[in-house]
Amino acid sequence: MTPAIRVRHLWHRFGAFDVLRDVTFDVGRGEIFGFIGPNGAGKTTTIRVMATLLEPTAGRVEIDGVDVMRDPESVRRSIGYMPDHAGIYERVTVREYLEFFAEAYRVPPASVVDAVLELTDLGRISDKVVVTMSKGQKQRLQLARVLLHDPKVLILDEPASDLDPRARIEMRNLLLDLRGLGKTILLSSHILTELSDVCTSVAILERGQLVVAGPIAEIASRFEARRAGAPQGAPEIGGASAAAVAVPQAPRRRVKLRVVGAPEAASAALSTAPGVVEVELAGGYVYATYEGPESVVAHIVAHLVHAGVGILGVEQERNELERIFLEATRGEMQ
Amino acid sequence: MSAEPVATAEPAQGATGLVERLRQAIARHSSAPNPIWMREMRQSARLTRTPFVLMSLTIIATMIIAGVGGSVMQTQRSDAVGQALFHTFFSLAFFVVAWAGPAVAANAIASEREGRTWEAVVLTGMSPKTIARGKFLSAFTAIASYVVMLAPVGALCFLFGGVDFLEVLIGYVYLFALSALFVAFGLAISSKLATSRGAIMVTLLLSVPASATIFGTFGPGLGQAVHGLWERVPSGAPVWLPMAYVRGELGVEYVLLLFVVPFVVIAVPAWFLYESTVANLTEPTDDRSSGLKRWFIGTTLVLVLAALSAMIPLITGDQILIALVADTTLLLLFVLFCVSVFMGEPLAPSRRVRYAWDRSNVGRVSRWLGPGMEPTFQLVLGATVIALALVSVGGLVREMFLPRGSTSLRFDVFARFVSYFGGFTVFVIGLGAWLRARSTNLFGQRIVFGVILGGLAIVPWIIALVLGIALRGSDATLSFACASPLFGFVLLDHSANGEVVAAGFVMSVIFAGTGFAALGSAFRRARGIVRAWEERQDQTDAAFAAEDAALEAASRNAASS
Repeated sequence: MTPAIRVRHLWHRFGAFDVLRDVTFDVGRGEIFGFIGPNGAGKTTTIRVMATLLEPTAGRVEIDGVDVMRDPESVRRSIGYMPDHAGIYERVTVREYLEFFAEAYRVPPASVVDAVLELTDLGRISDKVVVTMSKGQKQRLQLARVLLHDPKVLILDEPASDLDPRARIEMRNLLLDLRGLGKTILLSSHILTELSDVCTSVAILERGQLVVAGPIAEIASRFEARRAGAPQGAPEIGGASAAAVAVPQAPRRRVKLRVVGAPEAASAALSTAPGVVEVELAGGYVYATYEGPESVVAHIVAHLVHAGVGILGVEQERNELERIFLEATRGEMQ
Repeated sequence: MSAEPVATAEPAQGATGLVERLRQAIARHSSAPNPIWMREMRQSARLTRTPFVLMSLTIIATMIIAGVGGSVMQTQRSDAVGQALFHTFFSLAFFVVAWAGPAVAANAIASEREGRTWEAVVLTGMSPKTIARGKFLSAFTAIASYVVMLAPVGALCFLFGGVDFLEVLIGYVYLFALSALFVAFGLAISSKLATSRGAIMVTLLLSVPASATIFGTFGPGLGQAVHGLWERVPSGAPVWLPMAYVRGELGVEYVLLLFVVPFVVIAVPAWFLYESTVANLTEPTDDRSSGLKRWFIGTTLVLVLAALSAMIPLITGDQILIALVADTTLLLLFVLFCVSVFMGEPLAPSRRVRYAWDRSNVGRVSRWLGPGMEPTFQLVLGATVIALALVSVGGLVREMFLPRGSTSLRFDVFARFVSYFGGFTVFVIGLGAWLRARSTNLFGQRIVFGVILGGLAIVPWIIALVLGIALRGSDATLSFACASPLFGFVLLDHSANGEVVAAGFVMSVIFAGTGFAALGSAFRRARGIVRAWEERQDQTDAAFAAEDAALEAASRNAASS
């Protein structure tokens, strides 16, 4: 089965600056794919090429098997694109807004608008004028707009930026619902916690180059295997060349500790603990940075108990995706 | 949830008749009005300031009309008061539409870009033409509502007499036509700029002086001349045109002045503004050229027909010479403008355009009329040469049918003038193409183009002036100005000496030679760049094909094992 999105050897140049350099990855059907990278990494440029809004200098992008350069009209019918910080007409009601876009997409406004209002839970406020809506509601309305023509692929550029926690949770749930409807979703963000809950696969872009791409679990196990010095597996992960995957030899992680009594005593004890390279105190907590596998945490705890420090709680500071991102882009952040 | 596209009333393939297409267009617009227009109307309806603006405008207009009427009534008869109110109202209404029209329209497209709603609209698949029409209709509706609100004030002139109902009606027809033109102007500016504030500022900076110039030239200025032609049209009247329809005498001049000229003056710029708006709304990698090229061909044809028909009422050879000189100069100015417009042409059609052509089996002529620097400048050169030839031949033919005893056309004078201007036109086209092929900075190259032509117009005269002083006013020094395009008018002097005529001839040859050389160089360079680009694309395509084949083979192997 052909992937829903296929990006191959994509290059783009603005003036003398290569904003994209040989970017290649696939997005499988029905996936929620996280497109990650710091600001200026080239995420939006890649997305604009996918959305037929930009002709790349070189390379090819296919959406649902159709080349975006060869048949942009057809691609536009199969994608729903929500740009970063997209504007919204303010002096129309929710229903009028959606009816306008339904007419523009040439879909029957009455039935489709009702269906989309129900799906996005905007039916209650369908007569509300947009200018009076909250940011979360506006973002939901934007998502409703891109669903009007029933696209197979949704391309969402920073959909949860500027949203409050409740709106973010609602947006996440809505994305999971859409995945349940069989949509393929490419989600761009630089907020990793936002992506880690919903994404099945990711691609990390840095300085216009793909650093790593593939299912999160696969990338994590691959990194873990490398750390353990296991033989190299497949030369590529989801299209990113092995050379591009910058895996540190000694990965660093941080653990947050809550201890009984003064944290300074724990800090002093930790300075001699095996694998610990840095200790910090902040807000009554002790943060220990260590090198090596996760099993080092057990040694740290044992070391503290042996030193007579009571431990109330131990927490790994980052989730899997954050760790992958940090390890893959270490030293390359802009 | 599923949404199948709705079948819309697109013209049937077989429907080729103009009437049938028009009928289908009306049916389409009445059953499914432009969505952009409908949405903007809804938005305007919720704008609380609109009724206050309209009310303030009506109050101000009423006060001005009442003031003018009151002061004229002190000294003039009732019919003169009616006429004074007629001129005041339509002059006032002209400036309202000339300033408010572009300002309202300027906000239309720039606000979409500024508000970041543009991409969402583009991705719906709505064509730039549909978007442009929707934006035009909404801005035009707003301005039309201003005019309609002013209508009761305009009706005051009927209370005093002196003007006919038909004159007022025609006045309104022109007011709406000019509103459309000014709205189209504002839209064209808006389609180019990224912010509403910038678009409004640029349109007002251009429309305020332009409207004053248009009003002065085509109003009292031309009114004076028209009074000489038809005495019943008041002398120097600012709003003479509606009156001329009722008071003018039927004849060739009537048709030319009241139908041909207004049509050309309104339709040609309106068409250009529409095409340039559509081009600006089209993605740079799509076809932005075909519409503008169609406009160029159509306008050239209209200009040639207007020039030929303007020769019909002429009765002397001197009049024909003046008409030929005016037509040639007008054509040169038109070409100058078009070259600066076409300097924005891409060197070749993009991949996206070529794929679209291949998909739709577009023919060679349509491809030649599409994007690409070489065919564009070939078209400009060819059309200009043909237009100049047709106008010249038209003048000569008209001269053959002059009444007996009238002065004959000085063909030698016209020949040296037209050959000079012909040579210069080739130079202008060559220069434009040469600059285009050497830069991707479209704005910068237009500046350079303007500076070169401006310098060419002025500097030779300064040299001639300095040499004239040095050589104590010798006539021969005039020849040193032969590189200036204004020198062409010197060649019209019947008594121009041999050196001046020879200098003009030599310069026309130099201009034409340089122009052709520049064209050749530009085309060679463009072809080289395009060839290199195509080779790279072919290599990339070959690499992709090989990669596809390898992946397919790998998946086949995996399946078989």
